[in-house]
Amino acid sequence: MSLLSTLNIGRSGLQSSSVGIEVTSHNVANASTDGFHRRSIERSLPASRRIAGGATVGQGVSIGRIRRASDQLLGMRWIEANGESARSGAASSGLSTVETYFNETNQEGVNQVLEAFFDALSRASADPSDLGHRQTLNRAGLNLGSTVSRTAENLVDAISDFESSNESATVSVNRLLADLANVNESINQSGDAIGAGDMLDKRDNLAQQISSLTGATISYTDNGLATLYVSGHAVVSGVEYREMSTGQDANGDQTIRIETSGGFVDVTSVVGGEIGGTQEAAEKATEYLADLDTFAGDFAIAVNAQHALGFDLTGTAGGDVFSFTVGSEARSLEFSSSIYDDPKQWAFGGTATSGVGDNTNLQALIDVESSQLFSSGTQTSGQFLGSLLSTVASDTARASTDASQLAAHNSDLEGLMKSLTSVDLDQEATSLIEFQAAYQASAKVIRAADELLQSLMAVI
Amino acid sequence: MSVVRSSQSYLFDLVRSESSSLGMEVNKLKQQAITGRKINKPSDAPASMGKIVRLREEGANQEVYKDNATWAQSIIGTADTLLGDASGLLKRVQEIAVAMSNDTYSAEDRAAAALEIDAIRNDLLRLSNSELGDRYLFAGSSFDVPAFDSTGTYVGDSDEPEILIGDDNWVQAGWDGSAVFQGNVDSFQVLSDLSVVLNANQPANVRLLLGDVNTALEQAIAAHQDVGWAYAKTDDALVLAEHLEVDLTQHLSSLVDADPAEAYLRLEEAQMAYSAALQVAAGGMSMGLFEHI
Repeated sequence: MSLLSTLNIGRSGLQSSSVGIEVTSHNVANASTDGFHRRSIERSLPASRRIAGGATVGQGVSIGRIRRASDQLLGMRWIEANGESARSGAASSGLSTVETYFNETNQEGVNQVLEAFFDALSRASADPSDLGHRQTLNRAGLNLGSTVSRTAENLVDAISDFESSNESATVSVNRLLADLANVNESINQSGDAIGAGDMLDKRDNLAQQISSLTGATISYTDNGLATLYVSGHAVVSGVEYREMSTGQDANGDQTIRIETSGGFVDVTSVVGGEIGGTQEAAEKATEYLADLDTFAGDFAIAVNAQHALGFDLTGTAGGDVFSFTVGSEARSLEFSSSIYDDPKQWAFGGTATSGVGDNTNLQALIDVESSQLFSSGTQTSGQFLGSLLSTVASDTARASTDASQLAAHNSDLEGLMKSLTSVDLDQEATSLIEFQAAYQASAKVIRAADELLQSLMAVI
Repeated sequence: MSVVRSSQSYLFDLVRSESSSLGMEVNKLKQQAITGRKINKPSDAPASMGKIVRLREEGANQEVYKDNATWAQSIIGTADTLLGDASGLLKRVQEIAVAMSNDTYSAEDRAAAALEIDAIRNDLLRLSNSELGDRYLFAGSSFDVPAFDSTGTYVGDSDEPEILIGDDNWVQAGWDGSAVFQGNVDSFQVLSDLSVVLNANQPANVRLLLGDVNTALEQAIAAHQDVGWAYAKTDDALVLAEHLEVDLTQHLSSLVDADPAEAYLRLEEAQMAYSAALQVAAGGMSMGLFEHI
């Protein structure tokens, strides 16, 4: 027996337990740190010593490396699911906002004011000369114009908000891309076990954040560097990264781009994450606005054309009931102030010399309600707006269902990932007891060796 | 999913997301219980939204049809009474004309009869210029002016205004007085002519006018019948609109309104689940080995 060797074995035990306590403390301290992967100490046996007679005796313990709990494949799937969940969540949130402008379950919407307008026309048939009926019709017309216009304004504001949000998001993405490229560089240069582990945590955390914003997917090089792809285009590769930006297409709609050395790649239709979801909500809102413009323009043209065929109470041919600007029909839809100021100008009569009760043209105006003016002559104005409302409702409901399902999938993967990688305090408490006991035992081994050495020294 | 290890951050995340989703469910049910509606936004029932909009439109239409039919009924009812009176007056004229065509009556008798005919003519003229509110019923669509002037000349127009009382269902609510009183024969002229021959004590000429008197009576009776049909049409329209309104309201209610008892029970259930989840989470999170070392 070599007493000095025993002392060394005791020392290796002390050292190993001490590092174990240090690693456990690091785990406990980071139990709530986002993206932290628990560490564990990996120990190994140093070379044995051969003693007289050919037998070998162990030489204690040496610290191999600090292992970072991870599952690369699961991590890649989680990052992907996180991007999809963020995309559907942002689309759902955006469309829920848009839906409020069409919420006719508890407030007046475009369908109701259109119906009120035709109701007022029908009521006027009771006495076409009655100024009370004409004023009621004026109020209905004014309300129709302002409600359509307000709904369109709300949509335009929502689209603008979505675009601003994506503009800010691309700024955040660019900062994160730069950070990830820096982390890649640090990983490349680092040789320190715990330090590299921290960098890997940062790497995965940044990848998650970028994926949340863009739906990016990730792959890893052999030495742990992350390569990040947005819609198949590499945005981070090693220490290099490409910035993202927003632009405008020929229609003035926002586009999402990845900058390249020769210009940019347009990824508007394929980008994921929050940017993609917000982009989807903006596209839907733009479609709804286009439908509202179609309604406003075609409806106003039909009503004006029919009104022009009639004659008012003074025998004058009917003027325009609604006005609008081409290109922003819904936003600019406005009821005639001239008719509003003088309700006698409603042209219900069929001829210039008609009696005050002649409602020939009023009947034709009422018939506009059942005229199939929309969707290639297959829908009335009410059916067209009803379809728009149904589309808004089903788009929002579908986005909400998608968001719930993808959030649940993401949550499952997150749970699975965290069950493998995050800190279990009970487990750490057990490790702490284990390392503490081992430390105390190693200390006792050293004391025993010391006492033996003292005894030996006393003999000499 | 199977969880291999239970980590603190996973546990906290789970509590966070589950309590959040249970809390949202409780809020949604509270909203239903408070508003009494199970559909509070279009996406709550996308498949029903088109139907809800159509039902509301139809319901609003029935309101208008009911109001219009009620108003039309007032006009037509008044016209019905007036034409009934006109028929009665012309019936009396017929009786006088038949009696006075008999040679047994004296010149004084015929002069007295002429006075009665003149009075009837005035009554008939006043009746044909009757109005409901400011609306002259027999002036066609020029109903803001009396239908006939004092000489019995028609000054209205031939357009007969209609009121919408149902889907593509219009009812006439104004009449061309010249057709009603002067269509086949000019009733006022017949009465004037009759007065003249009575005053002239000419029974033979009275006999010659009997045919026109009969025609005047028949055209008044025919107009009265037409108005009766129009009244029946408004009755039918009112009944239909009232039935449709009830049916549409019930249908709409079945789609939109929440059953109060069901909404309350579901809210209670969700609140209990929420409360239980919070208690379990709080209890689970307070446990740990570190407490014991």
